[in-house]
Amino acid sequence: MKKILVPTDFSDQAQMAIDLASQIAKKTGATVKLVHVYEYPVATAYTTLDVGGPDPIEGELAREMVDQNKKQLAEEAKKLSEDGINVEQELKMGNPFINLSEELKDEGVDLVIMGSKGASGLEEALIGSNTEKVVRYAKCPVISLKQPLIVDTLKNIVFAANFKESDEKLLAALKKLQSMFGATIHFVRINTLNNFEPDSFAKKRMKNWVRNNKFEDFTLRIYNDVEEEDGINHYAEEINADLLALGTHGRTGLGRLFSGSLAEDVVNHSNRPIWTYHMG
Amino acid sequence: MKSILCPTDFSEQANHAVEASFYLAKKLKIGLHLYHVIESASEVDFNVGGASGGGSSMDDIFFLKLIERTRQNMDQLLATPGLEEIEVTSEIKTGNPSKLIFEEIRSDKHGMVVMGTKGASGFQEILIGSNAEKIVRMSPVPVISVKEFVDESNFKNIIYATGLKDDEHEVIGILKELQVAFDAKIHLVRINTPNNFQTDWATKQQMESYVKDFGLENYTCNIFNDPIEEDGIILFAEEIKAGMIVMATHGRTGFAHLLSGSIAEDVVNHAKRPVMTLNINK
Repeated sequence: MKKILVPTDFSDQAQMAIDLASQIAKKTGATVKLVHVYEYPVATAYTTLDVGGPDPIEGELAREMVDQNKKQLAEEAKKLSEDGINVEQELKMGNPFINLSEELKDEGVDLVIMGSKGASGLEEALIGSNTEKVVRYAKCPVISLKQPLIVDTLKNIVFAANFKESDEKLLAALKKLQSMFGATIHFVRINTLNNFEPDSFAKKRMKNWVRNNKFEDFTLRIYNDVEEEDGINHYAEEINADLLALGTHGRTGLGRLFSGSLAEDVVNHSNRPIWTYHMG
Repeated sequence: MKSILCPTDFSEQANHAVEASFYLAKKLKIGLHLYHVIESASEVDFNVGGASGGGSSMDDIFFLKLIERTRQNMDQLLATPGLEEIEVTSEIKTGNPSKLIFEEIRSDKHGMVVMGTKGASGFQEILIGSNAEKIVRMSPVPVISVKEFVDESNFKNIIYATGLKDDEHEVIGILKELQVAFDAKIHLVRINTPNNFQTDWATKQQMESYVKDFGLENYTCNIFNDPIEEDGIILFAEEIKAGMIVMATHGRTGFAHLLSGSIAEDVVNHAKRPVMTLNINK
């Protein structure tokens, strides 16, 4: 583990992400990079198009906010470095999503940790959450969390899949995650009415899959539920899992609108930390 | 529990049923009644005093020979090593075998029927094929159908295929008796099919209150997915290497049976291990 990127907006959720990054950094010697994106108020962005130019009062307000954010960011960074962790910090301005996407292109980053509030209902339908967008565009694994996580107690990881294909990068990342925490992976296939498979087939396939991909310290399970998303969450509940792991295909645009993406739904509706890896 | 009734035609399967009966009688500390019917148009009871009178034709001579041979068969069966450890009685009758066997089952003298079945193919002897199925469906007491060699270990790992309904207490009662006698583990399983699809969380909850209501101990809870219920039971039994299958049948007959299918009969015909069925809609 070289570098862990933590986007922060100084919220409680972001603090949880920083705490987790700090624990992992201590374990692995990774650098933690804190990024804050200062988002221009929407009204300001519109006034730039006006003949009169930027509103001087709003500009002043923005400058004050930026100064304040800089200070906050520096404080966060100081706390980490006092703990003996290598820290980098960066303040960016503009659209959080676009700016984070740029950060994510940094080849040095091999894990993103984000706090997530978990959008639901109308907000989700209209704008989606930044977390789910990051999940979709990151080139490295992303851990998103809504509750504090203590690394030493992380022992049970649920990995949900259909066990039909093997993405080498995904599997390598998953194994890295497992060894980092010394956890058991609980492989689960969610069986629904729409993709009903007899246990006699599915179990055999899962067994071959874990054998071919040389996994150790794991369990296998088929879980019946109405929807895949429900199944993953219910199964995690049943075994009291500490973390959910998913490979995502990250559909975008119309595809997303029509079919939805399982990983994003799970991210938004689970209260457990979720590790996702985008398969490109 | 009352004695075990073991109808026998002295076939290989019937002998396996005797083996099974032996372990059951020994462990449950009950008697065993071996029962054979010689097929005949007239019902003659010659059990006590040898041949019964009437006529002197060739038929009678053949019939007497048949009786004699049957007695020899029964004596041979009674001499099976080990049987002296349990209390065994025997009986030979003539008449309509399925009618007489049904009468005996319904006589209220027996607590359980153990019989050999040969599966769907072949109908050489009276105890195999559809008659066995009829008995499974109609018997007021539990029926254990045996196809292959059985020993004590068969009764140590018992699958209970359940619909998780509350009308199964009678089956549970017998299951518990077996469990105590053989120190057995019970594997509860609900077969999940597309037609009766249930989420795991709902089934688990149901199972938990089921085992609590019936006070089960030393058990495992399982859900097995298969398109066909009877296949699921058999495949699950194979997977966990169970020694015996227990299930309630609702004694469906005729048209309804054709439409909905009665799982129990299909399992009897395809499972290699003993299957105990109890009709709970008597």
